Amino acid sequence: MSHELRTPLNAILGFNEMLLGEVYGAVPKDMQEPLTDIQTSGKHLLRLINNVLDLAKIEAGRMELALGDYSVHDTVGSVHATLRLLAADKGLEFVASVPDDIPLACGDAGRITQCLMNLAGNSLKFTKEGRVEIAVAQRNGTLTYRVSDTGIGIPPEKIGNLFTEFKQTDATIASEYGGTGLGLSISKKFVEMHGGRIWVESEVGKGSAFIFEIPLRVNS
Amino acid sequence: MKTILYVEDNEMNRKIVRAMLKNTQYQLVEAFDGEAGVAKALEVKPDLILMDVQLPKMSGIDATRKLRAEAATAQTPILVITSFALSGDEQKALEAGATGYLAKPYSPMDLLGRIRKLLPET
Repeated sequence: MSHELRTPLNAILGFNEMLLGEVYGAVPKDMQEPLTDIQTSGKHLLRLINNVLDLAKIEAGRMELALGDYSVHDTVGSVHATLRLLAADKGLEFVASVPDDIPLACGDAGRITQCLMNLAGNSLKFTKEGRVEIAVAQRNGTLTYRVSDTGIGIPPEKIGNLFTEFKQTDATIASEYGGTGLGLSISKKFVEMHGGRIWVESEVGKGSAFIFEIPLRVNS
Repeated sequence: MKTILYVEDNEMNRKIVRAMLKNTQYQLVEAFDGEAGVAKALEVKPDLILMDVQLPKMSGIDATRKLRAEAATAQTPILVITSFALSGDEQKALEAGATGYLAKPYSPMDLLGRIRKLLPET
C-alpha cells in the first residue's frame, strides 16, 4: 500500500524538481512561482501520506520499534542541523543543549528523531519571535526531552485535544501555519511504544513546552 | 565516458534518471529487473550501479550480493535506492555489499550529487 501511494508522488516531485532545476530548459520567470507551489504542496502531501501510513501501521499493531544503542548528542544534533536554516530564516534563536555526561541510550533513534522533528518543527512554526530550545536531561535512568518555545501558546481548553489526530487547535491555524495535524498523535504513540509519556505545558502568548520522558535504555 | 547502470522496474523513475543525466557526461544503461540487472552489469561492466530495492524476479539486495561475488563487479560502486526510509533496507543493502544507499523519496539533484561524489564526471 505505502509503495503504491508514494511512488507516483515521488515521480511528480522528481519531475517538478527537474523542471525547477531547468534540466528541461530555462523556466520563464512567471512560471517559477507556480512550479515552486507545486513542489511545496507535493511535499506537504507526501508528509501527510507518510504520517497517515505510520498511524495506520501503529493502529494495526504492525509498527515495531527498531531498538538499538544511540547517541543522544547525535540524535539531537541531527534534528538541530536539519531545522537550523528554517530557524535562521525566521530570525529565531534555536538552541540544543545536551549535557556532556549522558550515557549511550537504547531506543529507536529514527522514531525519536521523528518525534523531535515534529515537536521542534511545530515550535518553529508557531513562534514568530524569540527562541526555540531542545534540552535533554537524564535522571535515574529516565531521559527527558524538552522542546520549548516563545510562541503563541495553547489555550488550556485546547490542550486535551492536542494529541488527537487532525486536531490542530483551529482551522485557521492550519491554514496559516500548515502541518498535517498528525505529528503530535504519532509522536505520542512512538513515545508510548518506548514505555514513556508526553505532555505539554503552555501559556497563551508566552509559549509552550512539549516534554517527553522515556527510559534511557528501553528493553527489547 | 563513464557508464552508469540503473536497475529499476518503474518507467517513471527511469525517465527521471534519464532526464537527470541528459545534460551530463555520463552514459546511461538500463535494466528492468534484478536478474537482467546482474546480467547487464556483467556484460557492460559499468562504472557505477544504481540499484532499486523492490524489483521483479530478484530483489536489489540479492542482485547486489550476487554482483559482489563476481570478480568483474566486486569493486563497482553500487548505490542502492531503498524503498522508503526506516524500513530496515538500508542495513540490508550495506550488508549485501552496497557502497551506499539513498532513501526514497529522493531529490534527483541529491542523487546526481551522490553520483558525482562516487564517480567524478570527468
